[in-house]
Amino acid sequence: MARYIIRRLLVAVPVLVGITIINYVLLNAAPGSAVDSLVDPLAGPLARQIAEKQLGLDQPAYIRYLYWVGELLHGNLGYSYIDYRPVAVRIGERVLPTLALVGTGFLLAYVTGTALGVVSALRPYSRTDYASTFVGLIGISIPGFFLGLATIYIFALRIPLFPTGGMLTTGAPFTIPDFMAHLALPVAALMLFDTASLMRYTRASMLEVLGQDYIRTATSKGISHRVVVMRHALRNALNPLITLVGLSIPRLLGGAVIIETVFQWPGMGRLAVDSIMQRDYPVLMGLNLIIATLVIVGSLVADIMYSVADPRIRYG
Amino acid sequence: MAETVAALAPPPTAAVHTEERRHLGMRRFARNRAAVAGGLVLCVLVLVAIFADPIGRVDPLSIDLAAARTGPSAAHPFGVDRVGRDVFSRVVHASRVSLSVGIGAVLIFTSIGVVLGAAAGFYGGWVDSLVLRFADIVLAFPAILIVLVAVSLTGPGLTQLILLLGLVGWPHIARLVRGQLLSLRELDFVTAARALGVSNFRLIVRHILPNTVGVIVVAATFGVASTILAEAALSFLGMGVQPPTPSWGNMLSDAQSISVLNSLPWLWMPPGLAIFITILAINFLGDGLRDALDPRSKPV
Repeated sequence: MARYIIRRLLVAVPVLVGITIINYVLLNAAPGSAVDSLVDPLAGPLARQIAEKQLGLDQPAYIRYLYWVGELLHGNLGYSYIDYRPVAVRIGERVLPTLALVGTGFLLAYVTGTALGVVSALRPYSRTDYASTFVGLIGISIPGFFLGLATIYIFALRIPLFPTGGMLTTGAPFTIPDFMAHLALPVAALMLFDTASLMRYTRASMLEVLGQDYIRTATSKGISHRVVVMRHALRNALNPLITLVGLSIPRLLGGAVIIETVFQWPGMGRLAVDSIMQRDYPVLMGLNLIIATLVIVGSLVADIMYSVADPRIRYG
Repeated sequence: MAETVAALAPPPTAAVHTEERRHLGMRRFARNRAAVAGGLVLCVLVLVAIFADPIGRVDPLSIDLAAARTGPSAAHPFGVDRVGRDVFSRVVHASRVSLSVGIGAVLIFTSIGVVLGAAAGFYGGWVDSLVLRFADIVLAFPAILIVLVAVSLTGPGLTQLILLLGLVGWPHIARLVRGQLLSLRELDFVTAARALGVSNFRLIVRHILPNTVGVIVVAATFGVASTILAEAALSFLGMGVQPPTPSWGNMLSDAQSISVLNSLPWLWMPPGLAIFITILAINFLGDGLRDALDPRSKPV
């Protein structure tokens, strides 16, 4: 196992390097430059040259890339082109809001999604099952931004129960109830899709397990239905879900671009959109690096947890 | 992960005659009323896209300033937008964008995915590692970010969007096809074909790939749904199809202003519902196809 993990981590290094290079090439090839948003368009070419020199943009691309990697190895992600603050700080202040939003959404989605999936699988082709299957299909079909806009329209504008956006009331001191009120709608809009897809997944997985011979054996030995379901079936049915948890780790930080935009949530997704608009490449490089690392770590964690939960799987 | 799942799944049975199997699949599909309904809705949608001009009645770009911001009426069933364009006509014409992105990008990424996945699964070794690592790199990019950056590189537009979404979507299909080939290539009929001296290319194309068509069709169907959603999301963020060309996504982006959201609901509800109904129909169809063609798999 240890050898397997080490090998996977070693393979991850060239993948990460490849990602940063592709990233760098793409960002360099993109038209427009951070200088556009920093220098007054009426100022002369000298002002642009000075700004370019200050940002190091007068150097050739490969030198800048090597410089970026060198600084990265010293723990420095660089500085924003827009406000000159360290990239690590700019990203860091967005981590908690995103974690609060996406973390809450995931947690609720996992609990309700698996519960609903198990309930429908226990009574397949019943009315409950049809109803939740139908709701599940709706949940995976409704686009996040439309759902977000619709919830704002209904629960913030028509029936003014919640604020229309933001994380805290501007100017007011931080209070938990205020934060929760702001959190409610985006979490609801975010979790519907995950709840629905987890429900569908759990239902299919549970139905498959319930059809296995060992379930019939357990039932015929006289074990109560409840115990068969909870002990024998559920544990096996939930195994594949563990993989899903690992694979959704990167989305914890990068997955809420749309919802954060609709609800004006000050998280990492919105930072990414804003950085693209402002051509703030150091911030984008930092964001992409973090998310790519999480994808790699997430899939490794998924594989490891999978083999812990199901000893039949061995990695050599 | 792909390895483990493929290893656990029982090998697909190749014994059933393809002909028989096709009939079986078709019968199973026809019994699923929701799936048939989804298919019908999609047929209607294709017709709407083809005949958008007569159905929309007015030019989606023509401006009637006097009617601007008015709600639904006999002349304008879905009302008029802020600059005086007919919302109904715009929603009808926008179906062309969604369908061409959905179908175009999926054709591209399914072809790439099948070729790379088949090569990886059949040849194994360094081909396999190369394809898998390449897939890892593409997957490790947050898809929406790479498309956002690439769009700023190529400039926004329908063709660019189709190409980009097509170029980032293939790893899922490639892994799927690879997993299928890993188990199929060990079956007796492959050995038999080899013994008869069939070339590798012919073996893959004529003998092995036909057994994976069901799985590919199902994945491609769900791929159409996710691609249409991606186009809508990008256009919503202002980085996909550019106004004045109507797309369901860019029509919704007007509603990011609270005043439009509140007082002109006919601007954003019709395109939003259009995306929702389209995706719902595709998902119903996909579920039905999966049950009919690929009963062992799980929802994605």
